Amino acid sequence: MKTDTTSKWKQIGGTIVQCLSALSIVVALPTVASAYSADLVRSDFPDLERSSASTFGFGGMFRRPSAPVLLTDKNQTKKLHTAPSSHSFITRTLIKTSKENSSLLWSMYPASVRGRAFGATGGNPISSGGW
Amino acid sequence: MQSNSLKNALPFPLLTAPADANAGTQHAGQIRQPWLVSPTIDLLFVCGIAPWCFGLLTYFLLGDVLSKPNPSSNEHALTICYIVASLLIGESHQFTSILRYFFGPKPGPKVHWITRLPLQVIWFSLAILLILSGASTMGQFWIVSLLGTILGFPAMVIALPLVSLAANCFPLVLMHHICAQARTIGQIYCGKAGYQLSKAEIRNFAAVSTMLVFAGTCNVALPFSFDNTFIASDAFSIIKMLWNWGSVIGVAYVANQIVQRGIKTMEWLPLPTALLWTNLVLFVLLPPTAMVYVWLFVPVFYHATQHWAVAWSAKQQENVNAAATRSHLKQFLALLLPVQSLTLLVLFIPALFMESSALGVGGKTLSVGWSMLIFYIHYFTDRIVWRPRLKEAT
Repeated sequence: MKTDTTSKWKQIGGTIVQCLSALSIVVALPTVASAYSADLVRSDFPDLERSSASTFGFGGMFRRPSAPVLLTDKNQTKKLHTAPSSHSFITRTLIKTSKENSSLLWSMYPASVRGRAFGATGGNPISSGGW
Repeated sequence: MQSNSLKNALPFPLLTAPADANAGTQHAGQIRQPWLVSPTIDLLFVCGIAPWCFGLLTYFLLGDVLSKPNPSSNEHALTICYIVASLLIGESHQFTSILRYFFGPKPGPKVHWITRLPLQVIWFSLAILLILSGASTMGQFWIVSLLGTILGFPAMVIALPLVSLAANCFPLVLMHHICAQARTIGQIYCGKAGYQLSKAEIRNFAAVSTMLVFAGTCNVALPFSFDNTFIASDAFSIIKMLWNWGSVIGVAYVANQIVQRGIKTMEWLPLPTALLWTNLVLFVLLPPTAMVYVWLFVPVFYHATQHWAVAWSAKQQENVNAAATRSHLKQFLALLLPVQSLTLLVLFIPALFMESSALGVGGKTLSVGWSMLIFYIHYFTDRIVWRPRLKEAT
């Protein structure tokens, strides 16, 4: 008897979860996708300039780190240069990653793609504060 | 003995078909399924043919944008498809293991406590963060100062360097995650095909996989700020070359071992495993400049789809009755919908909120941190969850 009641509640719970899931996908994803698609062509692709760090030790084997750039830095925009805005997200990604092969994996990683497409922030997440 | 060593090496023992003779007799009535989903889907999306096809297609659709960067009419549609695939298949794949960790079958007693430790550290750190931020919001400054005094020093000494390391080394861990998963799924295919691997072979595969991780890290997944921070380019070029050549020699040695075994015993590596591992080696070792178009699709249509295929296969084996009665579409939706909704609730919506909120830390930093946290939880739960039910393990 108890097992019957439990399985019944499990069934009801499962149905509710499935309905909510379907609803969340039907409503949220197209909204999100349309919001993103509007920005894809318009937004520029910021790219932090690579500062020339000084070298030291063992014939210049090690590099001294350059100061990180914070999002709160008002001058950050001056340090950015952008690709022509006529290019869409995918082309800019290809152009950028072909120049910086070492970031190929995380640039194509879905979280990075989302971050750049939605947030229009590029560059190194640690130094620029965004993907 | 050999089968035991294989079982111990796999994080997905549930999915391995009986690899030893006894198990073969025990499961005599069952049909051995050599694929995770189906031949076409496995070959395209698990073994790594899809990234090549999509890469070529993109190259032809966009034209060679790298040499002639002209806007193309195909770009917009392609971009939308790419981002939607990234969201639906790529990001959500992390939640297949997270969902299973919380709501799936309980992992067996064979899971060592050390495996769970990184997750417990994550939960503990989150709890402290929530308590401190909650107390701060409510204006209970004495709680903040008390807890800050008690937890502040150890947090500064232990947690901050760890968090910094985890954030900086994120691409390297990602590379390890991709290589380890590819190696393990290759071994699953071996188990399914009855191709028994010896301890030495498993050890060699693991060694070559580790070398590929470091070669791949140098080629396409350098830790953040590493190239411009720590080692000068000349010294780095030498390190990179050493890892690449080491990997080439390791791959050649293992390939030779496999061929020798095939010639002697007429037992050949199963086709899916051969394809899966060959593609991994090509993705990692081919010059990245020539691979940009292909790499565009590797995280989604090689790595993430592998994960979905394993989740599908596990679900099929656990719910044999449902698999027999329900249509494939219903089964697919039963797997997909909870994962997608959890992705929306836990990742997308909080990330959007964090980016738009005026928090002092910097909305982007918070959002990136959250995404990384989800990745690390996925990375560690992955090693725990794909195991047999408790009663099956005992």
